[in-house]
Amino acid sequence: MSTPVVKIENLVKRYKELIALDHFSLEIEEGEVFGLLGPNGSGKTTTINCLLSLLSYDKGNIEIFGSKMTPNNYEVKNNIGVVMQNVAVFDELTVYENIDYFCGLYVFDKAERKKLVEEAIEFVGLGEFRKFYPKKLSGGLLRRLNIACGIAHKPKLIIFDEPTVAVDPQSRNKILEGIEKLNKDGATVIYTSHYMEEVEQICTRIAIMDKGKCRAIGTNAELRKLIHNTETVTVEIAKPSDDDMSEISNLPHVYETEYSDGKLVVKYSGGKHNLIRLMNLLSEKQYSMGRVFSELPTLNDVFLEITGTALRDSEQ
Amino acid sequence: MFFHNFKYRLLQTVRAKEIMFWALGFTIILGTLFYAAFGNIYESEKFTAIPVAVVTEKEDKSFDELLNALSDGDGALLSVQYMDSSKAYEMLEEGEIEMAVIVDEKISLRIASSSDSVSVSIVSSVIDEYTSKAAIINEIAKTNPKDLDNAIKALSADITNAITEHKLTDANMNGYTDYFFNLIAMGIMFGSTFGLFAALHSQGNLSALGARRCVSPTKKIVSALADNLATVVSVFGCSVVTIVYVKFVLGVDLGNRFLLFFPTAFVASFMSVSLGYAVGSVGRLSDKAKEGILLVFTLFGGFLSGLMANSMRQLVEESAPIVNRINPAAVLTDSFYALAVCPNYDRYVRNLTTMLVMTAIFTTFGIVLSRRKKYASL
Repeated sequence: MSTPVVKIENLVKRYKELIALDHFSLEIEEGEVFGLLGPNGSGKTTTINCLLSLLSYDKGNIEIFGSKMTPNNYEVKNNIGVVMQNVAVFDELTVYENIDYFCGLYVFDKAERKKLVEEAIEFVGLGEFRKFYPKKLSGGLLRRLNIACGIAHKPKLIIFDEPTVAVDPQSRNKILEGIEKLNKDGATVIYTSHYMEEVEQICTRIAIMDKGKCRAIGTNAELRKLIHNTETVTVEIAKPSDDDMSEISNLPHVYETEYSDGKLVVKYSGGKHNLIRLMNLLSEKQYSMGRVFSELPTLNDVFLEITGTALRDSEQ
Repeated sequence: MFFHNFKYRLLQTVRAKEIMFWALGFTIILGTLFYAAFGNIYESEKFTAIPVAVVTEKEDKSFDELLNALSDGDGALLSVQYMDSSKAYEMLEEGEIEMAVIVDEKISLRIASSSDSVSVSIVSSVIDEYTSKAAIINEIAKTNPKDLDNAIKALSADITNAITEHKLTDANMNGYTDYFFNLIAMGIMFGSTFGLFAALHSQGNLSALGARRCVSPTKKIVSALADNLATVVSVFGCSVVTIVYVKFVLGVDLGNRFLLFFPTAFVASFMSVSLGYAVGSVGRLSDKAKEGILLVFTLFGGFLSGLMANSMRQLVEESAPIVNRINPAAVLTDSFYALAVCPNYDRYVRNLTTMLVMTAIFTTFGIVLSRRKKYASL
């Protein structure tokens, strides 16, 4: 078995009384796009900062590329790229100069650096803005510059800490496509976000974090299998009688039924042809139906079932 | 790696418009305003030759020679115009000249009503001196003619040397120049903001930029050294422009040793940047709060060193001299003052040593506070 790119063991980080990371463990293999999903304050950024040796921690061990991560481990640092949550560029330097500066912290050879900077500019699509100062860039372009500064030196491990916060949909898609391309080119990616759709879209494996703990870990499909729900059918319908509701509840694989606001919600755990069976029953009972939806469980459902709180609710 | 960091920090500081305004633009503007405000006072305090009309009713070669000697050269005491009496009286009447010397049997002085009393007393004393010396020579000619030549030589030399300027030093003693010393010092002290930002940008717990740099494989000591040296160069560059502007554009007399202002400014730039770096490394105050602290420190230090009232440094010296010893702005201003005024280097060397000690203290403080590579919280 190959050495994991990142290995976090039993990590504990306290801020006085608050436990930010509670015996958090994780392994990330080479070539993965690993998602850290959790609400704000769940410990994602703290994990990243400990990983980068920016933040001290109370207990645990962190290894990157099989080597213990310390502030002086320059060899490991040389192979890491970071895209911070907050845009970290110099307002007084142009787009080109910013990328060249940060790339130059890793790559000494001028000719090689020039090539890498050009590639990074091309990669994030800032070619026509190379002489612009950051203050002249829109929010989305600024985020792209932030990314270019973090990836220009072609690191083997790239950490993206919520790179799409406050970004318009067009730039967001561009960023996500870029991350997938970086991964295809060989980089291992750690991606933190509280946007489930993004994590579902690009991550090959996901860890769900809550209150400093890793609540679940696996591929998208594996996580969905962890929960009871496999399908939710919603039917717009007049309120069924109590007898009919009881009959619906007794259908195979149904574990929860609910009627509110003109909608019948039926939840299933396993089974096939659940929707057809429900439609047949309602037709037999001569109910007039409006729209019908059948939904597979989302990461939000996974999060809800594992933590008892909806991801979006817990952000507030 | 060092030069890469140095180059970009230099670019970044030179383009930091807001700080450059305070360190250079504001200083230039204030210097120009000082010049506009003090220019007339400064000019009026310069000695100019006293314009005198001379009316020769009876020829007196000796007196003519004396007048020629006193109106000769750059530092002439008198500016003599020979004319007839009617023209002289007419010009006196119209106020075109302040006084007329009438050379007749006796030498007398006619003055205009608007004449300057100092000028009148100077010319009067010249006439009195000559008249009394002429009487002595006449007496010697009558009583002891063989010693006449020696007596004339001795007394003539005595007359021309009777009124000469005796300076304590070669220095510029103009009090208003002190404002310009303060101004140059203030510009350099404003440069501490460059040091502040160098600190903020180097520490992972103070800024996102600091965090990004901390996770790179560049050694912190290398980037910190490059940052600080680049900011020192920027601050020094600003001070050179200010000194050159004050000296050559505004024409302010900075004394004969003004070239030493440059190495002084270089040492002061180190002191200023290290002060900013130390303040920037302190605690977890916001950037704006730290900037505010430095601005207040710089302006208040400038006030105590005499930027707003040039007697302030003297007042502080009389009541609390220690403040002048530990106030960087006062120490720097006094260094410039010592170069311009003091005949020797004792006071200058004392101030220079104080600045070097302060630089060492601020640098140590900054290094101790910023040496961490891992933080308890971000």
